[in-house]
Amino acid sequence: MKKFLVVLIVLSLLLSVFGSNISFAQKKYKESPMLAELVKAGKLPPVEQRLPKNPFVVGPGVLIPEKDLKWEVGEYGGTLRMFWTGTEGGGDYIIILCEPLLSAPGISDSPIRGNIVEDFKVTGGNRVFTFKLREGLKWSDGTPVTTEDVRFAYEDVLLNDKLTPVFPSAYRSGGSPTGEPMKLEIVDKYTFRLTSKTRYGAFLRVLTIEAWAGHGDLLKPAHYLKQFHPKYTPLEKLEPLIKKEGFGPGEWWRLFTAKDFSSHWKQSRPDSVGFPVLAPWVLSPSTTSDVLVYERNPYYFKVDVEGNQLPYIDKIVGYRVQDQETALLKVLAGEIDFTRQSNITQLPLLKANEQKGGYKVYLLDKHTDGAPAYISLNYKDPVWRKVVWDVRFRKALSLAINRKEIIDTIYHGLAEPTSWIPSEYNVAEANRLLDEMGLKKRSPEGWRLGPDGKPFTINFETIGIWEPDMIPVNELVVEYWKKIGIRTTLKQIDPTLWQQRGREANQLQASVLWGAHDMGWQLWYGLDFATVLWDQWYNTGGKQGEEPPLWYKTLKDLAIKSKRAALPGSPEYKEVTRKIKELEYKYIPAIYITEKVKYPLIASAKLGNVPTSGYAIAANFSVEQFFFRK
Amino acid sequence: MLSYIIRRIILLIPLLFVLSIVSFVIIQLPPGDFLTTYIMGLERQGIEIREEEIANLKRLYGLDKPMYVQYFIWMRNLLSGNLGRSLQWGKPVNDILKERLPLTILISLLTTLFVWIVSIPIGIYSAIHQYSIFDYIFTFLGFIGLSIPGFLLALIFLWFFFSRFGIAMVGLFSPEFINAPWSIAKVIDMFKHLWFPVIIIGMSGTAGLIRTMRGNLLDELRKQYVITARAKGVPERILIFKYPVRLAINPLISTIGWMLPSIVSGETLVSIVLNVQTVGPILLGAVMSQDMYLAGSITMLLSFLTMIGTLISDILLAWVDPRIRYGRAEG
Repeated sequence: MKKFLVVLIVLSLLLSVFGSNISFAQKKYKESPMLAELVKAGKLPPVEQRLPKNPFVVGPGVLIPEKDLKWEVGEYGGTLRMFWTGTEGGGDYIIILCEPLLSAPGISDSPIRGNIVEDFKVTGGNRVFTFKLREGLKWSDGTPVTTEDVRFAYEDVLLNDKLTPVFPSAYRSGGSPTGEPMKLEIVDKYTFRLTSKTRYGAFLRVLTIEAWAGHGDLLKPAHYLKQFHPKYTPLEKLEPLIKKEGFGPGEWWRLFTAKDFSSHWKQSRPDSVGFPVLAPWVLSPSTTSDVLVYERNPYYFKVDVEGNQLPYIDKIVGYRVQDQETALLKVLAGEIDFTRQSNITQLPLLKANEQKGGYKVYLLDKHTDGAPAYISLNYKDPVWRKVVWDVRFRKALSLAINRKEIIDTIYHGLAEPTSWIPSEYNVAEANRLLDEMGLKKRSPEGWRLGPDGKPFTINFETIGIWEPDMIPVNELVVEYWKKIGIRTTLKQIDPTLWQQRGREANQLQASVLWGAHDMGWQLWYGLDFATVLWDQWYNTGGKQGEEPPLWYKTLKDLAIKSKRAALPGSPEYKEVTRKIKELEYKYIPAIYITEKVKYPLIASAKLGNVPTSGYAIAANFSVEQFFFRK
Repeated sequence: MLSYIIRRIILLIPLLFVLSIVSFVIIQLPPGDFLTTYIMGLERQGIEIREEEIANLKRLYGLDKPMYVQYFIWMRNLLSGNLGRSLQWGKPVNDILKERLPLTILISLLTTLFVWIVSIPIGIYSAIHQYSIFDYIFTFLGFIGLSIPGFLLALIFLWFFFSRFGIAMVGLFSPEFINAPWSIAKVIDMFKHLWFPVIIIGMSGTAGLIRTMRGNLLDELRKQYVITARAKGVPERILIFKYPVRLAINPLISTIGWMLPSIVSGETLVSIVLNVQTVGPILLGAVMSQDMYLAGSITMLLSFLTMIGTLISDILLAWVDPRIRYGRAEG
């Protein structure tokens, strides 16, 4: 029966896309009892009028791949209790509220389909992108979404150099920082077209999940924001508002930016209450800044296969805690229904209290690699460079690491050795490589001497507070490298100092960071501080920085140019990925350690439609289909 | 006396000015600025932010202007009673403080009251019955209270309550009241939670005050006027409360100077552990994220209160203790 319905709805979708007027007799949608009451009281139009003509239909395998979740039709109601630390909602909320123009199951790149937009077409050899908005789609205040919102966002905000001092490379031709801004054409009330001068298949991915950017860049509630834009509201009228916000006279762009919450990143700020959004839940006012209360968006554009308007859950309430440990205590006491903010090192404690706390720990995948060790390839010291630029050296460092031990002791066995570089544990081979490359002589203490006759030393400077596994992994790595005669030290440093020494001043020799390979959500994380000067050279077309060796140029070309040109998931794209992997395996740009690290996702035992495998962050992406079992 | 007070108040102005510069600059001394800290916080959650967005944020927060300009803008607003806009919270500092201050002051006052009610009688008892069994017991407890830091005590109690009753004793309100408007039920709910932080924060203060009270009183008890009074047959109770206790309480008054700022800031570490939303943790967070408007404003407020407090305690002391004279000694 369900399958039949899916077919029916897909069919009707297809029919309407192709402009046909054939439509099934009055679709019957259902809504949350909470909204039904408002409709009865005349405070809200009926659900048929709130939904677009063709809503996004959620069913098995739509938001989360079928292998990761046995999808069920949910029930309405309930409050999802969450927490947050710091001053803004943070990662959990940002992803929950993220509604991109396009989407794909999980956080993958295939198949990419319309999310906010109903349909899209790529023509002109991956250059011309035509999108069709859902007819009847509405902002959370009931105003229809049209291409005027797109035009406003693109022409009046993105192309306004006061509001956008640096035009985003994501919307430049070919996605390159030097490319021309893409050309926007408004075809009709619901159709718009963006044209790139060069091939830019990755643009689809930019609009899907890359950088979790959502729809805010390309789609803004123009009817609301025009009141803060001097093109539509005279500056004199804005001045009192500018003054009230505490900005200098005439600084309307600061006022506009402060009032523009189209990016879901800002939708946890208390002053965003009342801003029209497209997210499943809308921030509602609260009496204190210690709670965030989100109520369902009555105009949300997704329905399930049986016609129930999503989300199932009525409300999200987030409690602010000042410390991660307090949050953990609340989880153990069963006061939290859903969070991704935990880590593998807490697993035993979490597991032990599962029954008592009434929650379940789902072991999912992390969307970044586990703590790779980066060795700077740009550190300005001739001796350092002579040694580090030798691939044999980097290979020896990788072979010296006992990855199984790391996985067992730190990740409780729930990770795998990296497949991106040679990762077998072979100390003899590591020593042989080091001897062969000329680091044979040793100091009285047993350290290998560098070409300058002094013990060759690697100084790690790592941030301890970022991820709980970084320092423990780093400590083990230091020991492994000492065993092959490389003097290695480790110092914990403050994040801002790290930023300044590493990314800005190029003074870091080595550091353990996170990294991400092509995992669907990000093209390539890059090597961060390790290749500061090479990247500068590459990004400025050779004007600044230092010229990288051929292999690095090829790697960058592949990762950036070739991959940007190809359509995500296409054979061309897969071929580029394969080539990148081959290059990385050969040249070992960083000492990757583990991959497929598991990540405990905590969800109330009563919650339904929680994925049981795949990326943990994908679960955040699908909270609109979560529901409480009665 | 009046001219003395006025002179002291006038002296406050240049002092406050210097303090404002120092606090504004010191907060920005560590490498980076608010944005670097902010961006790193996002990266920590595995989320990368685009460079264009960073440039936008810089302009939004006014961080593209030089530091002295930022200072003058802050100062100008400060003089008109506007404490500026917190970068971290994205709302006016006034609003943040308005929300936290009343609760912080309530907790601090209750704690002080708790400390005084418990420790003054015990201190007096210990001094009068020096080396008795109870004196030993109180001394022992006092040293434990002094030597265990409040946050550790808080952690131990949290663990105890969680493992015994399965509840997390954090926060000041039950979840159903946290976002409710003020009502009698909410106040009752708050007092149900309030005793916990009050006792924990008060613990070390109590221990300290018992020791001070006992020591001071012992010093006084040995003085000749006490012996004389006793010899003259003044009843013991009247004697002790009328003379030595009054003198022994002097140190309490001179600490009012520091009490005022601590009443406003609250106990930071315990507040963090117990998730009580006082001003202390807000200040800590503001300093850590280099939110100079919020941190600077709180620092200014605290310094101002310290100065006022010192002034008040000076005046009170002079009033209570006739031995103290103000102004220069003449001739």
